[in-house]
Amino acid sequence: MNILQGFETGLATALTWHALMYCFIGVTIGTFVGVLPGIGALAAISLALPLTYYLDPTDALIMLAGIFYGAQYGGSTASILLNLPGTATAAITCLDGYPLAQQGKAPLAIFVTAINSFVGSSIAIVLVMGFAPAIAEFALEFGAEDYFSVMLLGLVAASTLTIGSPMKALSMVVFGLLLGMVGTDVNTGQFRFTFGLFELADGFSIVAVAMGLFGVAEIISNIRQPQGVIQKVGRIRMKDMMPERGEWRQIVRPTLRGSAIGSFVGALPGTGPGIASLMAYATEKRISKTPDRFGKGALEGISAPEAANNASVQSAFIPMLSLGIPGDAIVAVLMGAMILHGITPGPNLINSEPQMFWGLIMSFWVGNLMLLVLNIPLIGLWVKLLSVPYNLLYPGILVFICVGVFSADNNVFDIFVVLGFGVLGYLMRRFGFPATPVLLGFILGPLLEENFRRAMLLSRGDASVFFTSPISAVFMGLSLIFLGSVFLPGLRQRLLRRAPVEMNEDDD
Amino acid sequence: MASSPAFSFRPGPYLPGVVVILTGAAVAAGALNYPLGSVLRPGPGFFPLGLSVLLMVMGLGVLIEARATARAAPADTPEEPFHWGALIGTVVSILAFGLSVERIGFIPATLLLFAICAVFEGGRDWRRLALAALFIAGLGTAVFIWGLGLPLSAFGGA
Repeated sequence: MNILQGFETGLATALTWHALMYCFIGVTIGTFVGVLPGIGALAAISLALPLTYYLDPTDALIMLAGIFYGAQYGGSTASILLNLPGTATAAITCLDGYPLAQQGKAPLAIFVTAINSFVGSSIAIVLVMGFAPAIAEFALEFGAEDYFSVMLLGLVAASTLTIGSPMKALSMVVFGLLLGMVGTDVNTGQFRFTFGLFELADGFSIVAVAMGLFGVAEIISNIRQPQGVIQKVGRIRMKDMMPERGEWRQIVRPTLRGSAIGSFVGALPGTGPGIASLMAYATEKRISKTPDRFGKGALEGISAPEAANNASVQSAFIPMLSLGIPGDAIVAVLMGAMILHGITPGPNLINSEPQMFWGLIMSFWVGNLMLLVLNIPLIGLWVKLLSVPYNLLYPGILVFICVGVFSADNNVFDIFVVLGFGVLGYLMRRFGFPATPVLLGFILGPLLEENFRRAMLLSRGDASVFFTSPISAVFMGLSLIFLGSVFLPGLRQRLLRRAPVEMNEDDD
Repeated sequence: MASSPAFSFRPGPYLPGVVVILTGAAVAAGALNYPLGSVLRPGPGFFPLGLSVLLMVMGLGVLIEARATARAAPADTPEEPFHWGALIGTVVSILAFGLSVERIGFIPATLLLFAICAVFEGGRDWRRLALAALFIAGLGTAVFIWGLGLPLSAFGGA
């Protein structure tokens, strides 16, 4: 199937009334949770996941993906008006967005971030359309050892390219892999680490693990946070939103650079939008002729990171759709959703499920257009939402989390699992252990083990196969470089320029 | 309980690394109960055992890192407060919901969860909180019980 046929199939799928409806629901929920500080897209997706059991898998994915990229649009609104990021990935937007609001330019900042988000997404979607099928075709030749190595690379990249301690991140990957071992061993039927609990025979529920580590943990750490002061914006008029000619000129290049950085970073397995927006901001600041304007309301300082984080969430679909490797925690949950629907993401997806593959990609266009409408003319609605106090909000979210995990399996046991992981997640946050690697490890664990065993069987127990198969050797080499960067601090410094602000990488 | 943390929780800088190592050791002990298999045919214990050893090594790395930072910056950095109230309130409210929802029904369990959160929060705005609780209870009933047909009842045991 060539790309043009793909377009056609995709449009036919994405433009059915039910796909449009679920896409709309998805991007609306996404904007909603994006605007509200204290609930991330991940919690919303995990919450919506059980609801999608009743849907056609393509519609389900379109909706879940909509939540994901929709949240990236909404996230900047709170950053600009409250100086509190609506999603962790919009943290960097606070630096220049809030000063702009203080200068009375909030409408302009909101307009610019929406447009930048749209441009960033569009560029990345084009790249997804070009690269995902090509990489998938290449990956069809992968053997078990190659799969093992590429997954390993994803996990190593995810934990070494974080902002905090790489040692802590690596230990969390291993911990996540071990969590994935809980349940029945597929090869032998042996129960592992079930502690005699019948409920654990199928392992931990992905919904419960994700909602605990991200949803509940986030609520616990937000309850006592002081609420920001909303910048008064009054009625936002279209006239105030439109940038002037000089301002347009100011944002064009940063937007394009941000999109390029975001697309590249997002497509790497294991790196999320948080790093993308950080790198985009750092780049703009470094190449700017007037770096001291940054932090005082520079338009470049909001346009580059916003373009970058949206580009990265779209291009994160490249490794997921072509290799079956999630780039970050949210894509990992989306991948879990596909597996729950009986579809294994990987190089075969594009051939076996062309209607799902292209339908999803074309729905990105539809969804981004809807988001433009939701975030420019209807922005007033979302601003009102920011005035709802958190203490009225979070008990409701807790109720929905409990019922959401219950509905996955109609079992109260999962409510206690979510609670356990919530407490664990809070403690992890408190001591600087990132949660994203746990989730990536948890989802990739069983796949990693299966491919390891298969590779060993096929190579008659010769572990050197991971280094003698050329494809695998390349991935292994890259993993070693990433690992080496942890132990050689100078190299790490060069790869990842020092972060301008502390930020939490967890909830992207 | 509501406002100020009554006592501060100051674990040593080495606690996280020690916990990681102990977790690895516990998993290794568990993994030894399962057949290890051979290199040609790794058994169900092979992968977990390997990972648990790796986890212990990582824990050692975390310890070494903690030592390096403790030396570089003496422990006078202000500690972020540990939110005991928030933690305990959330735990108790979710526990209460999980234990009661199948016995007293979805709506009473929801109200109970809100009430517990409010107690720990030291909430003053009872009227708005009650409205929010009723709204969520109603919405949840409509979506999950009538819409999706979950085996829960709005009131009373399932």
